[in-house]
Order: sequence, then structure tokens, then C-alpha cells
Amino acid sequence: MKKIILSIVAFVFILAGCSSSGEVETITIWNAGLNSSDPNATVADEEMPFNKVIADFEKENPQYDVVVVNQDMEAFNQAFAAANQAGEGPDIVAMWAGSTTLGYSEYLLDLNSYLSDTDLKTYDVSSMSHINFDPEEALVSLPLGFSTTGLFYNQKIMDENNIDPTSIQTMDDLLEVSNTLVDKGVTPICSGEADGVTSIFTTSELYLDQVGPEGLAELYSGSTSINNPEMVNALESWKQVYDLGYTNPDWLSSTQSDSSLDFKNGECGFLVEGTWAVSGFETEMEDEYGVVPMPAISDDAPYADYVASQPGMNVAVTNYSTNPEASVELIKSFASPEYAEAENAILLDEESSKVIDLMNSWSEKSGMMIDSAISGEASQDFYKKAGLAMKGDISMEEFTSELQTINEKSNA
Amino acid sequence: MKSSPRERVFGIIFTLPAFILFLLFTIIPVLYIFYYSVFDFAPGGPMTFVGLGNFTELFNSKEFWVAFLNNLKFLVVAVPLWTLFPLVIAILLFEKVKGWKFFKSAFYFPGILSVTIMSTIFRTMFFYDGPVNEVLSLVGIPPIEFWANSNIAIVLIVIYINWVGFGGAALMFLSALANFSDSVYEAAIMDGANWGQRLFKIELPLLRPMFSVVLLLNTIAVFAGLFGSIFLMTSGGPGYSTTTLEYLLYTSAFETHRFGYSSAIAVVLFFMLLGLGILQSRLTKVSEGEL
Repeated sequence: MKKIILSIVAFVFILAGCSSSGEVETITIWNAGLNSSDPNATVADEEMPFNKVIADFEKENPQYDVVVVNQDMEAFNQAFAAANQAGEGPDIVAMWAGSTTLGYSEYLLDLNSYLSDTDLKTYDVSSMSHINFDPEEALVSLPLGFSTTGLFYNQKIMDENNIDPTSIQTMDDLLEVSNTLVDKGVTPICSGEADGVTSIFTTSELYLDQVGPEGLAELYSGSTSINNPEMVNALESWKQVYDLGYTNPDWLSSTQSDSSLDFKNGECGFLVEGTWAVSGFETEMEDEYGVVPMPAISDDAPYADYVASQPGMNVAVTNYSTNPEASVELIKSFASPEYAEAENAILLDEESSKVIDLMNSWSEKSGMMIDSAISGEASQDFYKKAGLAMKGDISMEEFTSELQTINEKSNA
Repeated sequence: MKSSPRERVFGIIFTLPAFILFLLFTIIPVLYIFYYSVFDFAPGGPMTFVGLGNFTELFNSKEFWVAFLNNLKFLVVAVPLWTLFPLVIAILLFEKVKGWKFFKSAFYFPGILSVTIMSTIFRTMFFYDGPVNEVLSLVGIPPIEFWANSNIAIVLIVIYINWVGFGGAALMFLSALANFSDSVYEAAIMDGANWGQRLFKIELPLLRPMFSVVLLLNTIAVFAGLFGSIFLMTSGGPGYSTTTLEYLLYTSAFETHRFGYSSAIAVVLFFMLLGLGILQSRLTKVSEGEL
């Protein structure tokens, strides 16, 4: 009888051993922005780099099964906030960079101990991946999908009016060129402030020129108030284009996408936009457009050669993941230059890629957008009131003071 | 006549399904709003009890008073127009003026299309390069940035409310007029009453209850029924100049994810509408001599 019992126990142990050695563990990815399918619907899902990286990972690591949950940013925010409380969220998250990612930093793994110095160089890690935008603090994400803003121009209008857009180095240069265009009956700049987006682009750039990337990041920690003289200068500097009538007359009721459409239709000489718009310009305008860096606030500004550029997305690992090493390996693949190249090869044509490469080449000296450095509530208020401030209905001092009050309140 | 116990049981059984639905989808959510209003939280996040903190913050916020003032503007300007104008139209239609059948359908037409369609049409009409500016340019008036001017934008919304809403209100008055007994009119005509006397001595006094209903519905609508139109036409802008309390509630909940704060706005709106409803009902009773 004893033999039989021992045999049964041994058999059970053997079975248990077999089952545990063959058990497949799950790595869950919550994705709010990486392309798991081709937005142009020209490439099969399995050919998309996102899915190929996962397939390769599963092939090399058969002990893992990767499950992807795709969702929009709003749904992601709600689900992720709830999951963090329970400690039952995903292993990997892909979400918007900037204050969105940093808002979850207490639930994200410090990647410093998982990455070598060589890795850090490879993955183009900036202060935006660190808590409080401070390189001395924990590294909680890897960036990808870099976007840079620039001053796009209509080549035909430039040629017809003998304007060399590369000569536009400062705001004064832009105003001078705009004056020339107005004299010839051409609308110089397409702009829209109904959604405050143009002002975010331009103010980020003009503020960056004065305070540099670290000065801009101080807005997040609160060590610099939003209502500071340099911010007012930046806003006042861009306001000139409206005061002098150098934009489309309906700038106050137009949005950034309205302006972009007007620019594509050849209704103005310039437009402030980002790399994400290049593909559309290429399709609509072909070689009838070009881009130069945004003009600096003045040529003697300490950071005049800096441009507003930042990653659009971040990938990160949660600090409650049961498979941190494997998850870090996977996000390294998403953040690699090879991944970006493979995705660009699918989503962009050759010409668009050239323009985007040119714009991203300016970003060696760069800083983030203001709305990444201030709270979501303060950003919403910026979008809402920027038009009124540019129109002069509220003073820049009042505008920035109100932003500071909201920022303080939401960071409290 | 007193109902029997059997009838009362049947009454309860028949009303129970509707009551359960009302309880689940109206009473309980409203109670939850009251509960949420004393917490600070984003969906799924931790709920921090703040007592009356959300209300204190709300009453100290500039945006709240701007939105409240905008609601008051709509209440004072749009509601009287939206009530009196349909009344006049209904009386004219009731008198069967020439082409009344066409006008009856035409006036109601804007009310049957969706808010999205009507708001988009109206917004487009007043675009910088829209039809209204095209017409103005024919008489030498330079184009106007209608939606970029705070005062004009408010006026346009008042016009929009009347354009879209007056057909429905006119129809309510018309149905009330149609329900009056013919014998009342016949007696008045036999007594030699002219049109003016019939209007002021019979129709308007008899329309008073419907007038109160329309007034109450329109008041509720300017506080709690303009969201879609404002969202589509102005997004509450320029700045906060066309933001109403319900739009502020939406932005607090779905743009800045402050559900406790937006619940506090909902509670304030609830009491405002309750107060206005009670006030209106008492005023109506006073005017009818019931108090």
C-alpha cells in the first residue's frame, strides 16, 4: 500500500514539475498610441513593426505570451489609473510623453538598473523620461516618435516674391518678410488660435530661446512660475504677428487644422507646424513647400539655436510587473532606432522621410513643448484663453498669472 | 371614489417596472452625484474626501461666475423671446392667416433636425467666409469675425436658441389653443366680442397654464439643454465667454478629469433648477389666484 501511495505522490510531483517547467507566462501591453495597424491600410497588421517585434520576442522567448490591449488615450487613462490602485495593471504601457507619463511615475519601474550607458545613448533618452524632468531622478520611460516644430513655407510664394526663407533667423526677420508679403497682397502667415495650438508651438519655441531646456522643465517642478517675464516676452513676441495683421483675418475663429488646410491650399506664405504634418504636405503640395527652423526671439537670446522637439510617445514598464527583465527587453525593441526606421519606411514616402530627418536633425539642441511641462488643467486653460490673450482682451500678465494659479492648484 | 385593495395592488404592479427604471437610472445616479461632490478624484483613481472643498473652490473660481453669468444672460434674454415669440406665432397660426399650413411646417422644421446638423449649419452661416458675410459684403460692410467676438457669439446663440426652439414651443401653444371648447368662442361671438377681446379675455387667460409649462421647459433648457449646441458652435469660447454651467461641468469631468468638482457643479445646477422651478410654480399659482 505504501508503495502505491509513494508512487502516486511521485507521479503527482512529476506531473507538477512538468507543468511548471512548461508554463507560459503572460506579458500584457496596454497600448495608447503605437501603430499596431497601418493608418493608411496599405500594410497587413502582421507586417507592422509593432506586431513583428512582439512576434520575434515570442519566438525567441517561448516561455512568454504577449497580450496587447489597444485603446485610446482617454480610455487608457481611466483604466490605468484604476489598475494601478489595485496593482493589477499591465506589464508594459505605451502612452503620450511628457506630463502624461510623469503623472504615473510612482507606478513605473526605474529603468536605470536595467540599462547600460550604451543603451541610454541608443535610446535617445532625454530629461523627459526622468521623474520631474530631472536627469538625476529615476528613469521611468523610453521615448519614441520624435516630433519637431518648424516654420513651413510655400515655395511658390517665396520664389514669386524673391524671399529666401533660410534668411529668417529671428522674429524680426519674420516680421520684415511678412511686411513685404502684405505689401504685395499676400497673406504672410496662416494661423489659428481658436484652439490655442499655434500659440503653444510658438510660445514653446520663443520661451525656450530665452531659458533653455532646463529652464523650461522647471515649469513642471514649479521652481519657476509660469508668470515670469520670459514667458510674457515669448507671448508678446508672437502677438506681434496678429497686431500687425500678418495672418489670415479669421485667425481667432480658426483652428490649427484650418490653418494647415489653408496653407496646403496656397493661401499664405508660412505656417508653424510639426513633423506629423509633413506627410500631408507632401501629398498635397509635393515640392511646393519647405521648412526652416522656427525663428528665434532675438539673435542674442542665450538659446537662440534651440528648437521645440520632443518624443510623442513613451514606453514604460510598471513597477508591479512580475516579469520586469523580459518587459524591459521588449520596450528596448520598441524604442530602438531600427523600430523607428521600419515604421517610417511603411508610413512615410522617401520625400517625407527626408523632410522629417532634416527637422529632427535640428533637435540636437532642443526642449519640450510648454504643454508637456505644465499640468493638464493649466494646458487646457492655455488652449482656451490663448486667443483672447493674443487678441488683447486679457493682458499677458493676467493670462500667465491665471495659468500659474491653476498649475499650482493641480500640482498641490 | 376610493380604490379597492385589489386595484391598489394592480396599480403598484403596473407602475413598478417604470419606478425601478426611474430609480436605477435617475434617482440613484443623482444620489451618487451628491456623494461624489464631496470627494476629489479622477475615474479609477483614489477618492479623497474633501467635504465642501469642491463647492468652496467652485464659488471662488472665476470660470464658475462667468458661466453662471452666461446662463443668466440666456435666462433673461433668450427665454422670454423663446416663450413670447412662439405664442404670437401660435395665435397667428390659430387664426389661420394666409399660408398657415406652410408656416406651421416650416416653423417646426428646425426643431426636427438634430442638434449636430442645426448647430453646424448655423455656425457655417456665420463663418468669416460664410453666407452672412457674403451678403454683408454686397452692401459694402466688411466681413465680421462673428464667432471670435464674445458679445456677438452670445447674441448668435440667443438667435440660434430661438431659431431651433420656437417651432416646438409654438406647437405646444397651438395644441393648447386647439383644445379650447368651440362653445366658448361661439358664446363670445354671439355676445359681440371682437378679435382683440377674444384674444385678451379668452385665449391668453386660458393659455396661462401652457405658458407656465413652456416657460419652465425653456428655463430648464437654457440651463441643462444647450451643451450640444455650444460644444459644436463655440466650444465655450472665445475664452469662457459662451461657457455655460453644463459646459463647465463637461470640461471639468472629461477634459481635466475632476469628477468630484464636476459633480459639485451638477449639484449646484440641480438646486438652481429646483429653485427656479419652485419659484415659477409659485408665481403661476399667485397669478392664477390659487395662493
